[in-house]
Amino acid sequence: MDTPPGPFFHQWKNVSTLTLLCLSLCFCSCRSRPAAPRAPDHAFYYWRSVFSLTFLEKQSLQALHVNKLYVKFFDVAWDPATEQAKPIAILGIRDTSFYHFKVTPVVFITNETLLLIDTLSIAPLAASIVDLITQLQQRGHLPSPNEIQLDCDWTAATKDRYFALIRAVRGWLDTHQQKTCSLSATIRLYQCKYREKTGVPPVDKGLLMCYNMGRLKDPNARNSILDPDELNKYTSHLSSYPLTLDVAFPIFDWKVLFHDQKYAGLIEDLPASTLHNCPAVRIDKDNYYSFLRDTSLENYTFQAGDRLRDEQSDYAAVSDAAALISRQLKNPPSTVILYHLAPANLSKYSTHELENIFNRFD
Amino acid sequence: MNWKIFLIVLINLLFIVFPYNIIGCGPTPDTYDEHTTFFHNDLPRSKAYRPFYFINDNFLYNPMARDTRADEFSEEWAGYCQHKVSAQQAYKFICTSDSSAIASVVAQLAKKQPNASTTRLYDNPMTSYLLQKKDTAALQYILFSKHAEVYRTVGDQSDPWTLPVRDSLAINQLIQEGLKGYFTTRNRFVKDRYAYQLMSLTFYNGRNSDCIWYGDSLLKYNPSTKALYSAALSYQAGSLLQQKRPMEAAYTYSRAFGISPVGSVKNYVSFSWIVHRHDPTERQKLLALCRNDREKADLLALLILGSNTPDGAALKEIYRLAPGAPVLEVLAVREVNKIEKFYLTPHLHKTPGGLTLYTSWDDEEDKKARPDKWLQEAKDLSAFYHSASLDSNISNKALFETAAAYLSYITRDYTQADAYLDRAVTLPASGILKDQQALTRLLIAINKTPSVDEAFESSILPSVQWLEKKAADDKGTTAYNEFSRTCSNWQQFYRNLMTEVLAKRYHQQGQVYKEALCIGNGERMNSQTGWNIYGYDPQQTKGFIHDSMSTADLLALDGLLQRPQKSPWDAWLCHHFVVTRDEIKTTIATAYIREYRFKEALSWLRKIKDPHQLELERNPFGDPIRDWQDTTYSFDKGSFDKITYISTMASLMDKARNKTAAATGLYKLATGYYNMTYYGRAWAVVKFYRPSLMGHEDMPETTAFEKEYYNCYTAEKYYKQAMDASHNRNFRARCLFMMAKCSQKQVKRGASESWDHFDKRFMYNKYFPQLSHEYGNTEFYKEAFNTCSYLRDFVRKNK
Repeated sequence: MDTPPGPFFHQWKNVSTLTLLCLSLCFCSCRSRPAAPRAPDHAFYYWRSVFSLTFLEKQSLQALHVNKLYVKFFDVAWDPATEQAKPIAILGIRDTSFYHFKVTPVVFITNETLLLIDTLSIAPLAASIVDLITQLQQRGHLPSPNEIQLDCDWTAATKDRYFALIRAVRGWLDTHQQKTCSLSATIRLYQCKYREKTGVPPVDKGLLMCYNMGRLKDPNARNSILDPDELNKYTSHLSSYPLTLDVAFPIFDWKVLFHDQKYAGLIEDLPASTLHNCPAVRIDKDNYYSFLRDTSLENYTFQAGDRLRDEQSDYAAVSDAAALISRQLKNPPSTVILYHLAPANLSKYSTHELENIFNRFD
Repeated sequence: MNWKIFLIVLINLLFIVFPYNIIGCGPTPDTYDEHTTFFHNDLPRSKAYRPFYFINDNFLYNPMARDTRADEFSEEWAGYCQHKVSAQQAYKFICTSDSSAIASVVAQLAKKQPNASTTRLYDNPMTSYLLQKKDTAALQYILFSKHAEVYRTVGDQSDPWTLPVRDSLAINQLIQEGLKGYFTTRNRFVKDRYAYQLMSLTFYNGRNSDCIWYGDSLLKYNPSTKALYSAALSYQAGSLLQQKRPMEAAYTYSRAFGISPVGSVKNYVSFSWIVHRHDPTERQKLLALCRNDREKADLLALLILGSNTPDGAALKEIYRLAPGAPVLEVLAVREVNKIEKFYLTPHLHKTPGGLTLYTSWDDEEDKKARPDKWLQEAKDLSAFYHSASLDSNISNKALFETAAAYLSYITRDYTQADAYLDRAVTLPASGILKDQQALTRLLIAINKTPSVDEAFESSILPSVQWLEKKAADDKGTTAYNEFSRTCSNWQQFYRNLMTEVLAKRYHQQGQVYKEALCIGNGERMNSQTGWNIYGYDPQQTKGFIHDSMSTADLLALDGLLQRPQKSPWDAWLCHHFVVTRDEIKTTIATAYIREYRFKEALSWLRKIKDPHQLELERNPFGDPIRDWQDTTYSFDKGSFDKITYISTMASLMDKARNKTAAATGLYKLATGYYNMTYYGRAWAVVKFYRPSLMGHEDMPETTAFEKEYYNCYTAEKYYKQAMDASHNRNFRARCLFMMAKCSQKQVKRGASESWDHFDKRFMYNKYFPQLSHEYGNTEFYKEAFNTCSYLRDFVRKNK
């Protein structure tokens, strides 16, 4: 004869059921929350050929929580004498503050080099580039980089060679046990928009250069560094660009010289105050200056009739550009970079303003 | 689907959306062909200053200029070996052999009978020479330099992709060895080379004080080793700059520059980065550092080598300080080239006639003062160069006297120019300088002659033919400073003479046909040698005869071309004319058509042999409602030609004059006139090019033809006559609509008129009220209303 369950059993059963029910409810109510997006790294481009930080630069980097520097290690240019590509402006290191940052070597390759190089020389060139980066890393006692960036304003004529060079660099990195080193390339805005023509470089990620978008050599242009109207023309396709994109914004300025209505070069160290105080200079509307007489200012000579276009990266424009880009990108960038680190550039902005630019993507 | 339109739109879209900086680059401008010049920049005897020939449009000279140190040092070694060894052999021995090969030679020195053939460098005469001389010092030094090479860049020989080894301890060890070598040997040649090595090693090792000290204490100047001394000074200058002593550094760079041209571009660039050229205080500080007049002269030369301002005063000062300085010649030529750029070119630009090959500055009040400044500079320098040519300290007197003559030509003092030139030709001169004298003589002759008549033409023909041959033979892409050339100096001179000098003289004389022939000859050199100056339009002669010559001028041109008996000058001028006879006949016919002289035009059209010149693409009497010149309609089926068109026009005009024309005939005549305007379908009978983007304020209307071409007055007149001659309401509506089209073309936007205001005037056509009021119920009106948006807009707005 079966013994009916005692009161303890019923109690246990009730408790167990209740417990199970509660646990079920708990499990049901749990849902996986997406991990909070990681804030992008703050970075600067370092474009001078001797690495040596001033006190102002060190202070600013610290205040802005910058942990990454994109340092130009060298340029690759075409030497007409030897008819070969060769490195120029090789970085000299004079400062140990290198060690406080993640350093990404950047190599700038002139379009002319790609135009003139023999296709059979592309693979050896890739090897030379990686080798020289390694030599510089070793000289600077730096760890192997996590990322190497190539910078080239390639055109339709040089697309195939540039992409072949990128693939060769990747191959060389893989062969030399640097498989974890990612490869990135700078992308100009127009290359983003017209990617069917310009192609998409075979890299791990791109760096979208949100500057130098206007017509530098056009004597009627407004601001070739950063023009909101120009920027608007290029941003509608960003979300569909097939590469992950980091972004870079300008904090530099220059003056564009026109002689006889023709582009005659860039001037980078002529303060606006010098122009304003010079009686031979007429301040035209917008951002143009005209020389009324032959004049010498600083180390430059100007002829009567020459014109200067003052191009700035003012905070409001950069901030708006950052806001626009942040809305257009499919995914937030892993790094936001300012071009470029120099005392003259830093002194034009408050720390708060630079923070705001970075924070647009946080 | 109209595939033609589709393709046109597609192609245009591609050009619109394709960004400018992807489109392939055009030809590179020739940096030396940016102003009118007749003065060869390669006249200075020393070619070491070629990188510094005058270029206005560049801030800095090309920093990729080849480092010639190895070549210069090899020359010095060849001299050391008493020229029993060539510079190439010395280069091979020292620069391309490795240290073990040198060591094998050094090892022979210990033997009683050194044997070159047992060394690895047995085939180099330098091996035998040094072993015969038992020149231990030299060989030990060369071996030392091979060891040091690893730790420093040695110009082009280093692998640019391998960083120089900067082992400071190893370099210090080498410095010790170098010092030992320096103090051990008594061979001055070798001692100086050790000093050079020590300076470079200490520089690269950051021992700037030592580098400076070695330069002051160990290095001795020797005329036979100028290149080495100059290169060593560059290191000392670099060390001074590292020690933040910029004035001394700049001064030392200037010394290095003045002593030898080796590394001149690098020294110039380094100097330029330090100094503020136009700061008089700084200039005085720099001059105060100079120890003698020659150094002052070299420093001043560096200061003005990058200048594009008048530097006559500085040039005179350099001459006063050091009349024998080699740099004086290139400075003198630079000043002449500057005057060509800033005075001669704009002066020629303002002189009527010929072609303008180079842009000039805009006309602004203050700029008017500039030509006077440069003219005065030219006069001053002319006198100065002449006096310099009389100075016994000047070795190249012919250059200065020739320059004086040329500048007198520029200032239009032809008597003085001739006098200077007469003396210049008696002085010893190089071949290129003699050629320059001949060219200058020709320029003076052309400019001073009261008239270019047959006698004068005959007198200059041999000279011009000589110049032509020089241009044709000069393949001259002499690349100074790594800039590529697209045309040679002599090609420039020939082209400039024909198009900017001779052509303008003929223009002054009213001989436009000869002006055209000169322009054509200037262009001929372009097409014959395949030389293509950036921006120089090979179609400029055609453009000139199309748009700058009257009917009388064209007839004179054709008359000369077909004249069987010509003077030798005319025969030469005509022989190479770039425009064909058929093209000239077409142009004459066109000129007559423009004047509505159809019968005369027909006589010329019938002489044209090339049928393509006579084709018309569309029916010249077609009259669609819209001005779509490129659209083909059903009435465009078939072939059309100018002869039929113009003969029909001639016939219709006769009837119109005789008042025997029917309304339809008058309409056809009006349509024929309309279609030979800018808006018509047969504009090619009166023009050779029609830009499609000219707006209503862009039309030039300086001639009677242009007024008609852009305003359709005659067409409007005959449409009205056609309308008045008919009673058919539909036909009259059509006529009135065509009159409206003509009058629309006459509405021009004023310079300060807003677009809104202009649009209102443009839309309110003076004939539309009558058209809609009186003919609103005709079939044609309905067609026009449905087709012409202007009419629709007008009607809707005025309802």
